[in-house]
Amino acid sequence: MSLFDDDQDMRIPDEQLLSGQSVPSEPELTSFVATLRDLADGPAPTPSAALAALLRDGLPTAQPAADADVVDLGAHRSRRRTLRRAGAVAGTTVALKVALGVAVAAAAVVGTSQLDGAPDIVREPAQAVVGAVVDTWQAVTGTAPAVEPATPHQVPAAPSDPQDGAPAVPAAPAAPCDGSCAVDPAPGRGPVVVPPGSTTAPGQTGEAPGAPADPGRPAEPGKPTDPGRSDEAPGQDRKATPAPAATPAQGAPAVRPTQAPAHGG
Amino acid sequence: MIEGFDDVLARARKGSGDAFATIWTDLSRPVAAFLRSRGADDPDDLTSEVFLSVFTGLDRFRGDQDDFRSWVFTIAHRRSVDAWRRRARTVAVAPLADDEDGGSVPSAEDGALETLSRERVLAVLGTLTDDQREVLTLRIVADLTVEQVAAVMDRQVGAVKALQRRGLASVRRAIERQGVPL
Repeated sequence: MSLFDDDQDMRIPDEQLLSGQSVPSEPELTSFVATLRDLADGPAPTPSAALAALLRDGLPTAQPAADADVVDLGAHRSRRRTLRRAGAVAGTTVALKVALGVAVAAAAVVGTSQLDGAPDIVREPAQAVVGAVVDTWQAVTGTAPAVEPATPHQVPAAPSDPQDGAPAVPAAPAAPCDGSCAVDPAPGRGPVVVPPGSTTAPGQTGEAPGAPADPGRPAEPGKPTDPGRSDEAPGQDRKATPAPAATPAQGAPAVRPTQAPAHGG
Repeated sequence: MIEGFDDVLARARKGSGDAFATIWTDLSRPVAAFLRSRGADDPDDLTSEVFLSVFTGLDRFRGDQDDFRSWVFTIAHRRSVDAWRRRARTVAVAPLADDEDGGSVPSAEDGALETLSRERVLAVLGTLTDDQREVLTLRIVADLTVEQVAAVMDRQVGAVKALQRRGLASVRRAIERQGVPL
């Protein structure tokens, strides 16, 4: 484009031409603009099928009632969702609090029962509760206890050494032992000698005298039954049956008759 | 111009078919002429696409009737650009003449003269640059102001004025060079 062309361009009355006015000095451009403007006055275009349906029927979402329903439904759903979430949070909080309380109470009872420095008035009920729970659990599940419960013939710990933890063994059995004093000790304990006919030690009130050590466990062949059972005659000589089959297999030391006096034999 | 434009627009936003028809009757022909001047292969189908976009997007529009006209031609401008890009990626196919369309068919003599005149105008427009042709068709066919054209093309007002002046000068030179009376 030359400078002459630029100068010619500047002299075109473009606004007059484009607004539809006739410009006598520009007959070609006036005719051109008029013809181009007539393009917009031609026949209307044919709408497509989709547009024709829209022009005839309108949009389907034109019903205001449907819009109101949609808005109400959304608000209702949102409200229900919020309430459901709040209920779930509250329920979870309550359940966690209950579980935490039960765990703390259980830990307190078990700890009290195992605390040596606790007074007996506190310790004995705790032990009773723990023992009852353990017995119930074993009865329900049918499992053997990890520690043999004390038999009625077990000698309680010596009162002179309550802090020892291991029960003291009396130096000598009582005089009226009739020779059947050797019994299965508790695992991990040495053989004890219990005078026949002795009652349950003080503090072991949970088991009746003569009850088997493990009522849920059947008697094994070759193993002597509990000497406190009522079907055995008192005074029967059992020193020759040291129960060799049961004690080594169960990890307990073999029991040897100790100081079996020859009473009535 | 649409009488009671605000009411028509409010009913159109609610999906009224009558309001859609009113808008279609007022603007479909200039939009189709604009698309035809831009060299669209199927101006009628492209015009339908433009108005489908307009009717389904009325919630996004804010303004008066002049703004609405600019908004409609903005959509038409973008549609024409998309169609031009699609056509640039495909092989050109010569459209079949639709001689079977009856009804408002003009006489053979009038039709030949009209077609010849439009062909000349479109041929002259073809000598312009894209921006010059866009400005002239928006100013003349769509009947938009300089400011509205600047908004549609996302240009400055001064740039639009320069483009329309140079476009008219190019038209005059093309007519003088070809020596074909319009």
